[in-house]
Amino acid sequence: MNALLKKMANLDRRIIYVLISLAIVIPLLYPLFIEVNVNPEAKAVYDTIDNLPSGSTVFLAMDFDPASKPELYPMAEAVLRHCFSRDLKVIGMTFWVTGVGLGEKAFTDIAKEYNKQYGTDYLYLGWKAGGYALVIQMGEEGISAAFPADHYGRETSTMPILQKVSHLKHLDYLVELAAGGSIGTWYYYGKMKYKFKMGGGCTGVMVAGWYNLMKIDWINGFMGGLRGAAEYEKLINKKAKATRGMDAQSVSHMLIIAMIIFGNITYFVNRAKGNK
Amino acid sequence: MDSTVIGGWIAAGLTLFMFSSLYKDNPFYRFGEHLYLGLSVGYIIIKVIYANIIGGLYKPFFEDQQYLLIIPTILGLSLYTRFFPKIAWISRITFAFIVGYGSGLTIPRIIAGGIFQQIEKIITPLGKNSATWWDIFSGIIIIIGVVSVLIYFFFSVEHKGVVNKISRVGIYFVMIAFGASFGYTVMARMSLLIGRSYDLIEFATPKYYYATLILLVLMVLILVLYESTRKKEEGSKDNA
Repeated sequence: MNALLKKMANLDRRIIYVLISLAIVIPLLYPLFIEVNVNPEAKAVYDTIDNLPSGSTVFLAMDFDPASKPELYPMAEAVLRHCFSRDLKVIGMTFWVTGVGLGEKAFTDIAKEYNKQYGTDYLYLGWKAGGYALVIQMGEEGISAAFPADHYGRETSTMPILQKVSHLKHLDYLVELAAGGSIGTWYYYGKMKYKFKMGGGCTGVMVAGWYNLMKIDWINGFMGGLRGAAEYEKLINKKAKATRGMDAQSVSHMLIIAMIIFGNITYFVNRAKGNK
Repeated sequence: MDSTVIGGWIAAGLTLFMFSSLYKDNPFYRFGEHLYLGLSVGYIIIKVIYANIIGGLYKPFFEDQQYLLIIPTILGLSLYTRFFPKIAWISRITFAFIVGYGSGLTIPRIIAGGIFQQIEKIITPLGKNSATWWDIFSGIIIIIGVVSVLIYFFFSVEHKGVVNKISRVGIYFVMIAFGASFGYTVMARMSLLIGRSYDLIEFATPKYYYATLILLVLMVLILVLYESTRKKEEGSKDNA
């Protein structure tokens, strides 16, 4: 028993990797269909979009890259599905040069699902350097001044979608999907001056901080990590990748909790027995 | 075989290459790492050249006759005088412009939107007429947390007596905040693993000609061969 305890205290980390891998892969192969409860934060984003009149314009800022794809891409798809199903117009862009392709894929795939027309129902501006200067230009001179050409090089000023919504102040809602600090850029240089409504979604690492942003009215709601994406999928009644990932998430969390408890017990028992 | 399938094989292979580092450092992992660095830097350079230099300068200047762009162009180029010590002072003009413009634009907004707005929201719930008991309770907890954490980080007074007791409360608030952040970080990392595992499972289907499984078997075989060869070489060196 003593030897076993010593061995457990010095467990090879690769065994833990294998256990975690199994805890993730098995539920993905054999779903458990664990129920996802919707938090008020994600519901607030859903309600805002759901209550917009048909023809309103939502701006989707997709400020992430492939490193955050598993968490934020399902959110982008879910928000786009919700907007297109309600006949809302969507304008998208990204501050992350390595995320341009993800934005394009999300817009193209979901627009095809709902038979939406480019330039009239949706527009993908792509990426441009500038950060806050770009936001200020979109607010002062207009979206087409900041992006004379869209992601594909087409002229934006003549596009029907930008005739009614030419500046940031005309937006009905802005959804910021962030893997970094771009929420500050949109708030300080966008919302503070042009007073549009803002919600969003963030990676799991950022969730604790975003509760604060909601409390101080930077955003009216948000989706937090993969769970937030799964909540939104439940709200729009279209269970996709995020919902399927929640089973694996729950099982892996249970395993981690078990390992923390087990590790602590082993440590204290070893200490009591004088083992190192 | 269409491009999606080829993309699937590349994605599956590179994901397995990177995961192989969990076992130990190996040539597959190093190849994947170098490829990632090279590709991302190359991609960013090309995007910046097309979007900024061609789209933001060349076209507006030569096609739309926006000749005022010569001013930011000169300012931008002057930054490169840093490489020539004798004329490096020229870059200070641009730096002065960047710092002055940036500070003037940023500082008031951060003070108003970040600091003041936070303070206002911390205080407001206690004074609101429509505040519920829960709002009042939350407000009190937040005030205790803010004050005790500020005192914990206040090092101009020795932490003794009442100050020590309040700062101890501050430590507990900080620990709870760290715990919450760490919990969410674990969730985020698991989500990333789920994302890659999901793709690997997809690439293991007949649609992708079992890319994940074939590549995994090949990788394991090559790694076993590599390890045994390396050990033999090390053994012969030791004997010599």
